[in-house]
Amino acid sequence: MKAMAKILCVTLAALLAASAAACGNGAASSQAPVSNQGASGEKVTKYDPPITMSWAAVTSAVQQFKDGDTYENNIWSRKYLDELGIQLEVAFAADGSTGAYNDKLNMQLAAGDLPDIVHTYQYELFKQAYDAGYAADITDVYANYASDYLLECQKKYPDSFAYTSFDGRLHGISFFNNNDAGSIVLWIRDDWLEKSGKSAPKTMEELYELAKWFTFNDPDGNGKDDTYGLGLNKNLTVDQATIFGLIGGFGVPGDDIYYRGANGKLTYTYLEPGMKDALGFLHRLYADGILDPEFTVKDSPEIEADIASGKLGMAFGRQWGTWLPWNLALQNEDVVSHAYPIPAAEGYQPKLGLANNAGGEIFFVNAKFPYPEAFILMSNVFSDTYNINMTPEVSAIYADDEQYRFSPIVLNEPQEPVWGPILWDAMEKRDSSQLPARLLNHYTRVMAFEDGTDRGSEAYGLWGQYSIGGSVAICLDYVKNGMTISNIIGTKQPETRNEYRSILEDMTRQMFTDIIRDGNTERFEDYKTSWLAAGGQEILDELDSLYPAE
Amino acid sequence: MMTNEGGAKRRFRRAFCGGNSGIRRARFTRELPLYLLVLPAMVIVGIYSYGSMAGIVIAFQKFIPTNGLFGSQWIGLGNFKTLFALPNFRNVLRNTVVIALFKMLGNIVVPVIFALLLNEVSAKFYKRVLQTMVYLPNFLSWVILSGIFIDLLSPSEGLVNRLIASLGFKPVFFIGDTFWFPITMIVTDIWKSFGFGSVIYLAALTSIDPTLYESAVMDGANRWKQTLYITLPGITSTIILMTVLSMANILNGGFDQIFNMYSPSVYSTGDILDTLVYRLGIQQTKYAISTAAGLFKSTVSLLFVLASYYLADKWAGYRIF
Amino acid sequence: MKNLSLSRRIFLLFNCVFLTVIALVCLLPFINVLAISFSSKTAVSAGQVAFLPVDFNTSAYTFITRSSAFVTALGVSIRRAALGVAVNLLLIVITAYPLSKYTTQFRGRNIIAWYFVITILFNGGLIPSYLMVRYTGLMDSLLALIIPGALPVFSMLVVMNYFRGLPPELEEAAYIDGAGHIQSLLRVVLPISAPTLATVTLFSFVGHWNSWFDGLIYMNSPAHYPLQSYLQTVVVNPEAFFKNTTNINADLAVYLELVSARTTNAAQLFLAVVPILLVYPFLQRYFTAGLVMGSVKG
Repeated sequence: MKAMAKILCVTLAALLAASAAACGNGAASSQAPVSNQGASGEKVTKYDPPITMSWAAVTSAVQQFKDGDTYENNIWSRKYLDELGIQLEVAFAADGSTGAYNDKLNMQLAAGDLPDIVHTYQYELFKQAYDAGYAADITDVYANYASDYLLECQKKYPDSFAYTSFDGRLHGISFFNNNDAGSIVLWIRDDWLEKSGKSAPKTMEELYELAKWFTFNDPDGNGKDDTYGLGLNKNLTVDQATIFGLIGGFGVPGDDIYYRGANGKLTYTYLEPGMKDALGFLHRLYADGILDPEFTVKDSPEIEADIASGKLGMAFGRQWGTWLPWNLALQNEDVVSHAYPIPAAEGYQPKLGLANNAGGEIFFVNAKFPYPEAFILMSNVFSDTYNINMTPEVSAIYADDEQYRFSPIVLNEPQEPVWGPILWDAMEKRDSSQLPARLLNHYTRVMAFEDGTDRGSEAYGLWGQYSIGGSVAICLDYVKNGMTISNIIGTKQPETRNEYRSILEDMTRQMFTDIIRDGNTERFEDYKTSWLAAGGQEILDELDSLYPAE
Repeated sequence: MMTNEGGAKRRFRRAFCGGNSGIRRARFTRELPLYLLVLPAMVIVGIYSYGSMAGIVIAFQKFIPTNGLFGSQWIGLGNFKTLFALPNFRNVLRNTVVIALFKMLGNIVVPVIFALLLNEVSAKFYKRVLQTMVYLPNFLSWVILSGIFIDLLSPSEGLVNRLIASLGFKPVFFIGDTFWFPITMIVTDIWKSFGFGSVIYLAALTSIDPTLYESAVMDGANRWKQTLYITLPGITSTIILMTVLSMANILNGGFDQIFNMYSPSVYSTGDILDTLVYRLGIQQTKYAISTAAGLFKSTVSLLFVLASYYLADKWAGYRIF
Repeated sequence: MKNLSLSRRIFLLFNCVFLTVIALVCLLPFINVLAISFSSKTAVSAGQVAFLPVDFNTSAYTFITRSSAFVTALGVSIRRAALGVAVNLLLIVITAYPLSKYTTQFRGRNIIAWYFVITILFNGGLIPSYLMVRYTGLMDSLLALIIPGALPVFSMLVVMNYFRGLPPELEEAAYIDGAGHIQSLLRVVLPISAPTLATVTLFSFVGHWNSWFDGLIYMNSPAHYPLQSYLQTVVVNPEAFFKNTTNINADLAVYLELVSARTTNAAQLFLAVVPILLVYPFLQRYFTAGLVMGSVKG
């Protein structure tokens, strides 16, 4: 009897402890302090007593905590608490690069457990949340609370605002976009290029020769056959070292886009006839051992590792390549890399695909959150600091080492296409006096890198982009020379694409990988047929009605 | 409740003779502690296993999270239709069955052979050491093992390929090649579990009546003949039992293992139901289709489990409880 | 032993060699990892390391033990394993004992046993499970990793069958002495059940130590990940771990000559194996008795 009672007690105690802990948890995460502010007609400027707002943090390997900062207490959280009376609370934090963040967010959506402010990379998730009634209508709070700067942005970037609107009502804010600088350049290590005695490749044959030289002529001089000519990501179309630059040389506008072709008919990147030759060329690189033979297991981190360890001398990439991955070559071996325009294959006019200006990372307010205006107030504070008054000093505090990730909302104005010309003008004149505060930072750092006084990562990153003839200039030249085609998918998202996208992507990757490895380019015809059959045709048809030809 | 003066002896007799006393109350009080003991586990299993089983309804809905489990629109078997119509579904199903079948087969044959060979070893200490070594991989997670194998099997840096290259062959891309990937999964899985799998056969071997061998020796049977006519028949029922029980794994390709080692380039031969469920459900927010795929797997597995338990009972006289 | 024929001798020799090779095949991958973790990065990337460290050094270990993420995750795992195994064992024993009775002693026994067994066969899948953990408020707590699987049904069946296989006379004697079920369980049954308890303890420990998926899904911050969840993110992306650690701890820069993402990765993998290496050989001798008696019904 006694023994039983004892065991029972223990069990019950354990159960009680469990449920007590459970209750404690639930209460802590779901309760927001009650306050009437914002409900009345009066405009809020600061919450007193402070309100609580939950958000999800996208972590990254590069982000650093300064002086004992945490996700809950950092430069941005203190700012929002001081200026707006908003106490931030991190619902969850997960890595953005391994998929952990997206997975977690999707689970939370399924559980109806989204944080107050949601940040997502996936339009599909935003749409799901909207359909489920989670994305609050912020049309009115935006009109009432947005700063002049933000109201101006609404006029300047109508596509971006249409992207997050449904039936004319605004349900979120996305990055403000101008994607003119969003295409691909070719990055090459200076030291290897110099050693080869060749010039940067203008044709695909020259690219082949240079890559071959990088592979077989021991460019790092360590006496071992441990280098290769061209990097390629196993996912082919994501992150670093994609196929986009290379296929662009074959007249295939990369970046996975839909557009009206020369004949006015809707088409898709990989349906271009040049794709077949591009795959054949990739197979040639692969078969000759010039392409990394292990590319099928290499994701961006591995490619970055190869660049860091001096095994890879050349890869296609975005214009921000000096921020990552080529900064690694600078850090480890003090090697500078330059960007070059993509080479052209014989008989082809190079083409580059650009994302539609509508699109990008999306932020929205959970409809259950009682203070939607807090989201706009926060956007004001963020843009005042980050978008308007960014000096090197402010940058050092609020942005460098990815401190901006601590803010639940990050607004990005297109920078490169706008800033580039302004900076080059100042650089040619060697006169920075007319530059706005934020660009002064860029100017100073680019100049400092050029004269060798600053070899830091910020300086190198900016230098790669904004120096005269740098990557941004190359990208803007593509646009000027009519080499770019924009994705037709903008504000109106085709349902069929959301439905089939992932399946078609899987199929594309797999068939292309197979062709690159076995060289059977005849299978490209099969690919086109199966792509159309597996939902591609439906997408093209839907797009045709969503975006009718003029 | 238990302080009833009725005497332990009587209580005991009643307990063992099936309570024909007719005093229900007394019987209930006698059994009460047993009920109380199973209660905590029943509550927890009720909440987490049965509670989540209610979530299966998602498979029949056009699931919208805010509407809750029962508020979404019912669409019958629509999600299953979509699932079966996925262009890669047949492929995935085939991969799952192929990988699972070979793993099942290997995990019967290899442990049996290993147990037979180990049984021939007479030095006790040596036997113990061997066992310690071969059981070890079974206790490590695929997270760890995949980390180890990815390094070990890398075509350029891995030890295995350095060995292959030193023998003059071309490096083999074990986890990046569509031909080699499933083979690698099968072999590494057998590598991980054959040692521990042999425990049960070793036990069966020890239970074979030693007099059988003695009389066989009298009859002049050599060791091989003894193995063939005494040892193998002696463990046949165990082999049948384990074979039948493993049938339940027909759709278990091994999520932990494959998820941690696969990549899009081997989807054609390496993508299995569980990884598809994961990608659909968590990565692509297609909750309903994902749940439907999970339910499909559970149902097929259940049929196999029921069949296998029936067969196990019939052929080997085994009942799970 | 004495009159072994020649063929028999040859067989035994080959058998011995063969089994040794097999056992080595099981062990060598770990030795390779161990060797890599103790070698310098240049030796590793030059492919010189097989089973012995080259340029022996412990920098990789210094590196990871200074990484707060690794140490935190290790702590979470230790707490999880300790609490989780205790909860598992308690529930296994108190559930297996009543179910080991026959229906004559415990009328609900068959129904209740099926109630548990069905959960092995069927489950609601990932999202419904997530919803249950969320509804019961366990999200982001250690309990989310322990409570939902508090009763490992398979282990419970093993123990139940073991209890059933015990000679009934023992308990009968206890009952005659006036003991109730609980006393009988504590004084008679448990003391002679060491083999099966050791076996399921090991299963529980291994299960908790090796779980990674639940950590990724139920925890809200990488700081709460158990070791295997953390390692999973590292194995996916070793370079990120490496960069991160280098960025945070400037004083680790001196080790950069010797360590690379590959050596630190190896060191982390090896450290995660150590607890298993420590626990399992001691419980090994119980396997046969504990597992076989429990699974093959007498």
